[in-house]
Amino acid sequence: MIKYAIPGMYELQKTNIRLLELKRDHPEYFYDNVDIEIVYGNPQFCIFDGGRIFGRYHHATQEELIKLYHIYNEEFNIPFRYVFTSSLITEELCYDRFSNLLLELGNHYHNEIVCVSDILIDYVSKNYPTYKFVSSTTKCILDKEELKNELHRPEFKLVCLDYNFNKQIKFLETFTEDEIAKSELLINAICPPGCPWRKQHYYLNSMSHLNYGRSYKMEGCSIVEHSLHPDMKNHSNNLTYKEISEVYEPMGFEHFKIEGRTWSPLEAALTYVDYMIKPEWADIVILTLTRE
Amino acid sequence: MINFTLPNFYQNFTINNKMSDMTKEHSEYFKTKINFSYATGNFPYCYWNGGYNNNKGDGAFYDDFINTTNLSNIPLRFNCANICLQEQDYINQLANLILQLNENGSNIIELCDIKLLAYLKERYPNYQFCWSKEAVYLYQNEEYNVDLINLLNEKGLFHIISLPEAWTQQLDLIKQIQKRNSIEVAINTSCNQHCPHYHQCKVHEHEAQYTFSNVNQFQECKEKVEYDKIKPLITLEDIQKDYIPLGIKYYGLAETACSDRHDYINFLVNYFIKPEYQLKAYQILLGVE
Repeated sequence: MIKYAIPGMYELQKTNIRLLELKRDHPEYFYDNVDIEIVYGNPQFCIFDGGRIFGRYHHATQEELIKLYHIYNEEFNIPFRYVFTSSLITEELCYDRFSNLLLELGNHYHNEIVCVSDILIDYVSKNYPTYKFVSSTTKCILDKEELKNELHRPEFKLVCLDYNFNKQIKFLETFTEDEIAKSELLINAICPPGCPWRKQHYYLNSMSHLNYGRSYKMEGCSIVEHSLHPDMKNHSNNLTYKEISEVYEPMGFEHFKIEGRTWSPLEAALTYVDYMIKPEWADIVILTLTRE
Repeated sequence: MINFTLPNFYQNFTINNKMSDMTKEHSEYFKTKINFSYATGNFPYCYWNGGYNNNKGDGAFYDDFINTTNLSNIPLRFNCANICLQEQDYINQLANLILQLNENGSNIIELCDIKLLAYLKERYPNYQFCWSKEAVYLYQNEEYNVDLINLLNEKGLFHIISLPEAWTQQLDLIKQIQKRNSIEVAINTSCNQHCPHYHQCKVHEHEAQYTFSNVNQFQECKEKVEYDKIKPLITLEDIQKDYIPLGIKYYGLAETACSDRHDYINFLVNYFIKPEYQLKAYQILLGVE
């Protein structure tokens, strides 16, 4: 089974809820071997975030979040995963009120946190024990031994591999069953293969979140905003549905992460269709996901 | 010269700036000589804010924090008077970033927590401080009295001491305050202080701010209480007749008394502007000159 983590838990909530409704009401639209395992993302203005930078954006209220989390966890019985990937977390920052409100509101289901900071893992484990942790791809672990060690850390339910490992089939074939079961593959990365700026980029994103959107100049990085840009779509490290079904699923890999928290609903719809929807239903799904 | 503090520096930014400009460029429009000494408030979703729940709409960003001070014609008074604040909240990144970026020697901080005062004084030495009228909700009725105000005055910790709304018309009480040139009186209030839910409602506003909620469970109560939004409780005539002779220099407009932009403009024009210039003032404030 191919299990997707889809982006925009908060950011693309309308699109994602429609996708989940389609999955519930029209399973025939979807490839038989795909499932939506989890929805990941974050409300804006969370200083634990180390991922995507947004422009002006709505600030969530407690009431909004309670309603949204009820929809995911209770109506669709699907967990969500916070993106708490800041690499700048200190013990003091762990007490941030808004981030703790998020933790509190999600601490009643098998929700998850993708993170980088061990300080944060300790803090959350002690104070909000229901969360499971995912090791973030933003760690940019490129050393094979280091990656194997990460896969063996008991505190992680999953490890999202650096996208540069995606096509290293010989290395992936050395994975044990347990290592395969704990691996998550990022299948449509915005970064070009082997990008030397990736780690620094995530560090600067962490700085930006911590400073409420202060912009930092990223010398050298040529990323354009959207991953549907033709250059991005054709990155050689990225995986198609066909490759996933024919190569990775037979190897036992189950967990696949779709990137795209900053997408528009149209970009999300087009990508979801690529990875999940039978071609004959593509038009109706795109229309459903993007209607006003 | 009478000094007024305007509400909601972020939400009312343009209107407040235009009012300040008007005092300089069209002083003849005004019923009396006034100065806008501060614009109070805080940025949206900053939970240090107390009194007026500003968990509404979009949040503010780094550039907003810088531009608001840089472009404001009036010094800012940062409301850090949430009565729910605890010591672990002092390190809050958003509130500290705002204060750090706006420490220019003119802006001041409003609070009602003496421990927070010590923390901020050490960290941001270029701010002066205002004792908030919201402090009254931290004390039992009998504890919040003239002796407390006199003590605060004596200690000289605060540039301004803002009196609770319920005190503002009690001239006999105000007369007992020994040093009145640092006192601020609210000229209008958001609710009727005789409402049975008044205290609970105010405390709830603080709690809602602190928990990132935008629900006011006493909304119904507010609707029941009759409150004339146009007619202030303390008029300019009252100020000149009763309050100026007592040595009171500072007067505040309540944050929640005006429900929307037009309501706020109506209030400003009716309160400050001579009838013959009100049309011109409306044109300026509405941007239809």
